[in-house]
Amino acid sequence: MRRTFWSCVVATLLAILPVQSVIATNLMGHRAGYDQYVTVSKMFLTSQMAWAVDFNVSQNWNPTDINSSGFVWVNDSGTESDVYDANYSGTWSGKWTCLDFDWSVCKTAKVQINLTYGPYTDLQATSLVCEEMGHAVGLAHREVNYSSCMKRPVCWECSFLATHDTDHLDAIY
Amino acid sequence: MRGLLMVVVAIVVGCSASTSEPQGPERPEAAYLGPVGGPDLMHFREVYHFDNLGEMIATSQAVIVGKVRAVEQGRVVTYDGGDTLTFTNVSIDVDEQLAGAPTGDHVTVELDDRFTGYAGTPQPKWLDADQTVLLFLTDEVPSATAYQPLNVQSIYRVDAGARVVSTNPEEHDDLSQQLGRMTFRELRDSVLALRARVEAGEIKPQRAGPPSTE
Repeated sequence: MRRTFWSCVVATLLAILPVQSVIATNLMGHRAGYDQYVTVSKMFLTSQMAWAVDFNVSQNWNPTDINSSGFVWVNDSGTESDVYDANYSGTWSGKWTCLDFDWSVCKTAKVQINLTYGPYTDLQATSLVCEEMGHAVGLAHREVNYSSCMKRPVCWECSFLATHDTDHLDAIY
Repeated sequence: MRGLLMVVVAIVVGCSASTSEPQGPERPEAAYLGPVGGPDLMHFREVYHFDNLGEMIATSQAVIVGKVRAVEQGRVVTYDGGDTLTFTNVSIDVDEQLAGAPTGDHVTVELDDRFTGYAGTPQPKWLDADQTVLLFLTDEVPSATAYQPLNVQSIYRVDAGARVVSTNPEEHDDLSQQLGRMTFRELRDSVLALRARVEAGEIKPQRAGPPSTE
C-alpha cells in the first residue's frame, strides 16, 4: 500500500509540473494550423464584424510572427478560423470552437459572434472579435489586471492583445 | 509557493483516497471544453457574469430545485452560411421553486454545448437521471423555446451527502467556488433569504451583454 501511495505521488507530480508551467501562461496548448499562416474566413458577416475581423488580423495578429496577410477568404469555410455572426439563441456574446483537432494543432475552427446582444459599438465589436480570434490562435483567458481582450473579467474596452499575449504568439508561431 | 503547497496537499489527499477506495467509471462534474486529457477547444464570452448570489437570483426568471428525468437532443438551428447550433433538452421535475415566477411541476431546460461539453466527451454528472440539481434559469433568451441556464455559474448538483457541487467548467470562479462549498440547506436558505431583497427591489438584475453606452 505504501509503495503504491508514493508511486502515485511521484507519477502525478511528474505529470503535473510541465502542465503547471503551461497554465501559468495563457496558452491553451494548441496552435491554429501547422504553420505560421493562419487562414480566416468571413462567413456572411455583417459589415461591422467583417471590419472587426480585418482590424484584428492587421492590428493583433500580423505584428506577431503569425502571418495572415492575404489569407482572408470570404465565404469559404474550413479554414483555421471561420467567423460567423448571427442572432444566436444563447446567453453568450462570442464563442470559439475547434472542429478538427490533431494533437496540438487545431486544423479547423469556427468563431461565432452573437448579434442578439448588440448593437455593439466598434470598440465592443473589436474587443469581442479580438478575444474569440485570440482563442483561435491558442490564447486562453487571463485572470489578472491587464489591458487585453483576453482578460477575465471581460474587458469590453480592450480591442488589443497585450504584450504578454503577443509574446506567447511569437513563441508558438 | 502557496499554490505549489496546495497542489502537493491535493495530490497527497487524492492519492490517499485512490489507494483505499474502489475505482469505477465516474461522470465529470463539468462539461469538458476539449477532448479528455487534451487542451480546451471551446471558449466563450458570456453575457452574464456574477460576483454575488443576490444578483444571480435577481437576474433569474426562476430558481428551482428538481430532479433530472430525461436528456434528449433538442432543436438544431441552421443560420446563414450553414452554421448550426444543436441544443440538448433536459426534462426536470420541480421539487421546489426558490425564487421567480412559478414554473409548474415540470420544466424543460435547453442547453448549448457550453453545458454539455465538447463533441464526444462524457456527459457531465449533473445530467444523470434522478440527479437533484439547483438551477438559476432564464426564459428571456430571444428565440429560445424553453428555459436556459443563465450562464456556466448557474448550475449546481446536490450530491448524496447533501452538499452542493459546482458544475462550472471555467476554473477560478469565485462565486461558483463559494457556492460549491455550501451544503444544500445553506444554499437553499441563502436563496430564500435573498429573495425577499430581490422582490423588494433592493437587488437589481444584471443587464445582458456589453455595458450600455447610452
